[in-house]
Amino acid sequence: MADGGASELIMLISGLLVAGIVTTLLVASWGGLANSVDTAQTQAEANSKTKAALASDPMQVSWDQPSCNLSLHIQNTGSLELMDDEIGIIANGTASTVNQTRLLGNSSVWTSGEVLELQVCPPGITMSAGQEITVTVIVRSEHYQGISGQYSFSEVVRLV
Amino acid sequence: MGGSVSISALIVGTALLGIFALASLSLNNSALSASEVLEEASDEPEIRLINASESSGVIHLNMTNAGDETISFDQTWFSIDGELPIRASDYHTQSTILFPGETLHMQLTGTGHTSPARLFVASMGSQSGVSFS
Repeated sequence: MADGGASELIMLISGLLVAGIVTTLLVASWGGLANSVDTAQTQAEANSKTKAALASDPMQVSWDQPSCNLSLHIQNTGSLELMDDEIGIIANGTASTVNQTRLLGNSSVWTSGEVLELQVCPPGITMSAGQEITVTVIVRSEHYQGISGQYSFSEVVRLV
Repeated sequence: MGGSVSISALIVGTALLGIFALASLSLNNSALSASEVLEEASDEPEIRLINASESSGVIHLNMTNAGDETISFDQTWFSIDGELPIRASDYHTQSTILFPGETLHMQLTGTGHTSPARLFVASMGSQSGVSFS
């Protein structure tokens, strides 16, 4: 009887230990999975709140070959603030250098609705007035819940 | 013997129920976030310039909101002959918003353009352009 009670106790403790270990493992793995899903969701949310569009007339984009200067105006059309020092421009297939930026209007930060003027140089290429080129713009937002959103758009413009 | 097995089964079952509850909560949060993302993606205005003319340095234009979203003049920018965009609210102070379906006559004074050829407007991803008549 005493042996039976001891073995029952051992079985109970073993059962509890196994259940505890299994539960801990499952909860830990679920936690990791949930974190990954949360991060992916926050990234998707940040990306959906990050948008921009061309504000200048795509039919009349100023280009000066001697000074290698392409003038572009980009409006923040998303709901997050954009970083004006982290912009990527690809003009006519060439990664371009952003030489100068300035916000139009009175704003000091690139918030929703504000327009940023960019002076861009696509090095090593020759373009002429009347030529139609594709410009790709890549922008990045300020951190949203610890994650920065990204957005890119391409537009065909005619140089003047 | 039978009692301890039952207790163990109860503990394991409770733990599994807890895990399922966590999974349900997370799934619910995912669905909510996804719906928010979709809502964000679908709100783009649709602005249309109908015509534009110039008289004694004053630019007259008619434009309409052809979409479902209100358009703020603070977020609407005009560009005349491809030059520097100007904010609509700096030149039009009678109203601040163009409502869906509304058509408005606007006058832009002091732009410095005397014989412009083309007017372009951009607002939150929507664009439209017309030649001056």
